[in-house]
Amino acid sequence: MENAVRSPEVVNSLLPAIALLLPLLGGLAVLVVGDRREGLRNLLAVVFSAAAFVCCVAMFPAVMIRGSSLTVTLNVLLGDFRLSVDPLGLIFALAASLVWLMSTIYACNYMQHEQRRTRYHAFSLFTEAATLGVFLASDYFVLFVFFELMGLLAYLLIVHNQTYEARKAGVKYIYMTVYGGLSLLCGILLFVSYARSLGFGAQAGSAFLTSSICFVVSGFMIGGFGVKAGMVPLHVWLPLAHPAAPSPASALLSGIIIKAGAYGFIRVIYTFHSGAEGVGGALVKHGHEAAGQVPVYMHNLHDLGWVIIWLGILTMVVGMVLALVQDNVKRLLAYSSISQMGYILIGLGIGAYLGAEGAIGLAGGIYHIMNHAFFKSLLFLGVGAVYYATHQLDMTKLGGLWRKMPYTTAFTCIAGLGLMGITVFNGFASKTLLHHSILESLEPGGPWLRAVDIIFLVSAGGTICYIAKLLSLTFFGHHRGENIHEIKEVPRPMLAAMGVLAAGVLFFGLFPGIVMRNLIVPVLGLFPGLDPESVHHLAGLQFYTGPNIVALLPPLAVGIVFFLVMTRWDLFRLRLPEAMGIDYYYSKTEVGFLRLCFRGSKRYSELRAKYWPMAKTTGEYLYDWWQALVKDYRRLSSAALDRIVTIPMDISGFATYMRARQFTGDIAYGVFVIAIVIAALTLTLL
Amino acid sequence: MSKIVHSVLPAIIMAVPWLAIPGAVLWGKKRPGAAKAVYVGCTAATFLLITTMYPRAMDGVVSVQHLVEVAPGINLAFRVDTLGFYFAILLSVIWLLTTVYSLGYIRTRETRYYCFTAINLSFCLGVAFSANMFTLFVFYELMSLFTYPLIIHEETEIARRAGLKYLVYTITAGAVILAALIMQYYYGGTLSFLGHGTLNSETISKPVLLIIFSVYMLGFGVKACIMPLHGWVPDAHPAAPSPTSALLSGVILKVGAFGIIRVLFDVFGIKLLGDLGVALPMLWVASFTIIVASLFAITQNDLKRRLAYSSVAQVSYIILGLFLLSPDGAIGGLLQIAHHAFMKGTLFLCAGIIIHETGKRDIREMNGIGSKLPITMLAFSVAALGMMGTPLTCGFITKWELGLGSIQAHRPYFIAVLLLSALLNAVYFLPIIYIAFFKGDPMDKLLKHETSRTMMVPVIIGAAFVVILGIFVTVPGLPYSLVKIVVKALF
Repeated sequence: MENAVRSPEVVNSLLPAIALLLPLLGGLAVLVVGDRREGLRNLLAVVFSAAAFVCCVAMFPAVMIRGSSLTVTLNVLLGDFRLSVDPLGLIFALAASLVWLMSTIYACNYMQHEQRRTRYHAFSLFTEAATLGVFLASDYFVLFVFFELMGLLAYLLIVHNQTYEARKAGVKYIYMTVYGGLSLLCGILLFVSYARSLGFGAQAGSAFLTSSICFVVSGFMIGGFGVKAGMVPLHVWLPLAHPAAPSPASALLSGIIIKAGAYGFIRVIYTFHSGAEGVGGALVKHGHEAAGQVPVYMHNLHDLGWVIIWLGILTMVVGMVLALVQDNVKRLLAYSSISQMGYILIGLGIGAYLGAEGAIGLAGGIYHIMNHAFFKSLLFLGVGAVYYATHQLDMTKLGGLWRKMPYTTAFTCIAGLGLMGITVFNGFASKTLLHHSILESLEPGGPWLRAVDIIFLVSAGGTICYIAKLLSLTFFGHHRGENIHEIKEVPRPMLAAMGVLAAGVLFFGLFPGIVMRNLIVPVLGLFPGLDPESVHHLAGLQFYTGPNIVALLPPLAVGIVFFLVMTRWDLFRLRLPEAMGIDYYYSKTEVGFLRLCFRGSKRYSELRAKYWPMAKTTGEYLYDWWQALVKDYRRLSSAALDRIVTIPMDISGFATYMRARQFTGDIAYGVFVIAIVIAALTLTLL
Repeated sequence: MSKIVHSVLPAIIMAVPWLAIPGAVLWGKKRPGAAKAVYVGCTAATFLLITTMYPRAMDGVVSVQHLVEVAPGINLAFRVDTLGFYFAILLSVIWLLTTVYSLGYIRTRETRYYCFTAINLSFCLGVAFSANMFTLFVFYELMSLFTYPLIIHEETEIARRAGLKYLVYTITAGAVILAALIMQYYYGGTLSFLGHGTLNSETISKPVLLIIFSVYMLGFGVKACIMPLHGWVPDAHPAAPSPTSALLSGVILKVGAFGIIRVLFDVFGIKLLGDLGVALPMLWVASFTIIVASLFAITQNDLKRRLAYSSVAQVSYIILGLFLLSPDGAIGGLLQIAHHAFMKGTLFLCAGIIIHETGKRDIREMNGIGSKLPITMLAFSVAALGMMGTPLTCGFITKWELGLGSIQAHRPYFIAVLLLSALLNAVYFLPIIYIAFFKGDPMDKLLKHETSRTMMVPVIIGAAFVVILGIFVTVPGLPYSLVKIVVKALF
């Protein structure tokens, strides 16, 4: 088994390219049909995104079961532009295309309230193509190309409404994306040059993973992927963008697009694991057990994991605290997404931190990514349905909707329970894994990671609290708005889309063993540095055991305490001062930078104005001197000389014609600069 | 050694644009259609004739042609190597696009415009085809002078002042180049381009080499707008009519860069420059230009002025790439010549349409212009995204190669310059796209009318090239394949 995993059979197949092309063609078809025939356009959008999903499913047997890697090489960009599907890419692509399909079905009805429907559908499909490209890329170069495209295309989904809020969110988003893209590009350029690699792994035997350059590279990459992943302190676009975008787009943003960032983190960890191939795979483990020493690349990975864990904790706590105090449903969910990305980062970080034993951390992170894709997109679709029916996003003005919208309520509650991590629902499985991994890291991690366990418990409680707040204020109790009688359940297609996602939430919760064996374990098989035994152990892991279920009680208790305390002292309305948010300082920097530009150019013109007369006087002096010289020549010259002098006379006549006096300053300036440069060059270089 | 064949083609190609003059002069008033046809026909014929040299360029065969010996050892001669061909075909394509565009744009003094544009094409080709520094200098100076009527075309007070400034700068620069030329001839004994450096450090002392180098840089730096020699650029671009601005930015600034390339590859040679240690100062100067010009661009509200400052910054990418003295850096620098020509050409042509159709030059007044000129602004957006280095546009390829080149040269910190510049590009280009498409009420939909087809087609082709050069990079015949051959011969 090990050999089959280590060197996957490469099969040439057009499927990855087709999976990419289908949404692209769909987007073009949508643009062509346009607003004239809405029904046909919506049908096309759904059909093409369904086709993309089918295409991803068609890759499943070959990749997951036979363990081969489907590859297609296109001769575009710098040549050798390769798409290649391995289990990791495939599970992301599957989740992406499924959520996209549901979001598209949902959007057909939802978007009837909105303007520019054709643009929405077209760019949603284009974004899908780019996102699938990220997951199907075979190396960092290809990944970067699609990552950037995805980021830029998603801009159109965020600013869709073109209201003031949407545009403001769009501006923040686009600059963060550009910044992240540049950071990522920097990391990838360095990686490609130093690791001399044509894939995600460093070249076997290269010194890349053992030198300190790997930290520089992974730092830049984390800076780039972290923006998309909503990692604190790069998360500032997220709470603005999610509420501004239309609900189906928010579902995509939160469900899939931020996962592309997490996917990048996994690839970075994968790159470190590729070091094991160079040293001889499983031998490493026995070697270090014997010598009591960890190989250098694993040691570096360990350090990187430590950083990711703390970034994850920061993200988790900040997201959780801010989610608690939101009244806008979508903003609450946006902060919740940040917090949940923190969970994922903690899982991945522990996976890296534990090195060869990190299978459980990676499994927890990846499992939670899948779960979050389902329940968070379902939550966004659910509150979108509420908005569709009531045109209200402030949960303090909602309530009692369960009578009017029973299906929406049921689906949203399933998603909410999933997010809380209640038994039977999917969050339970992944949070159990994450909790286990934290416990496993306690031993090598010592007291620091004991703190992680407590923070994890508190934020799990906080999560339960804010979801309880969301669900109870929105769907239960009595209605605080007007016109409760006019509220109707949303149309069937929207319910169907939500229903499929709710079924997914339940499936991932009820059958964690099947998910682990068929989805997660093949992915873990990709990581050559992992201890095969611990991976094997995960495949047989039992989730529904007494201790696991009992472990749910402390967070529940904390959550209830949170809820009671916050209701008692009305802490849900607490607003933190602006200066406590990192965004405040980003905005300050932006404004300051622009002010600097304008001031700088003003200062430059001042300087120029100050020294200009000097240059001009010098120039005029030279010019007068030349004129006098010519005059003297003419006065003194014989007839023979006169003829020679006519030439400079002509030049000076021409110069007078073009009022050279005005620009003699320019000449003098030029001469001045030339003199200085020559002098400087000669002095420094001799 | 590369194979050498004798060919009369360069002279013939250079003669073809002149044929437009009789047509323009004779029929300019009475039969404008015929004058236009001859004018476009000549430009197109030039382009087609240049394409016939393609097989030779791809094989690395050099075509030479000797014209006249001006003085002993100083010849007027042509020599078309792959680099020269690359530059010639590029400028003929850009010229063709702007020529078609100018038919719709230029409504006054057409005869003069057509004549001088055609003459300039001929002289630019002369620079590309030149076999030695003397020939290059002659055509370079002629081209500089004959650009003047194009810049002052509108004959407004602003245009005249800009033109005057341009003249003062270029004439001074010409004199400086001449000085360097004389020094090179005196010390080096030859002015010919042989595909490798002709000066050598054994017979010439280091200070002399340094002085020759810096004087050359100062001379060509005015056209290649290295700061602080860029003064004329931000004045001349907005003053000139848009097709001329596109030519200025797309080609004429590159002629200066081409001169620097010749100095680098054919006068000094890569090895000598590496030994002299002048590469690093030049890299810093280029980096300074890139950053500071981008900062200036942010503060400009006049669209064409902003584009002009952006050109100042972008031309220095070429310098940066070349003076990295690494193969990938050279590929990036040489690619930038073509890629920037298409991107900035498209941007200026779009700016021309905006000015032509709405009369607006101030970016702050362009709210919702995307609904009035959707195709134009779409083309503008594509080109602007290209300038930022978005994947699938040609700007990304340049940025990638330059980045690889700077690591290859063991100077990875110049990546920071590239990335900062891309960020600044985003800061001054994204607001334009944002204002055009997303901000404010859309302009009256009833007013929606794109401009005439003669102006629309070049813009669309230009934007298409930005994307094609960014996706199908390795197709033979596109810049990348030519540049690869050039660089392979050099390193």
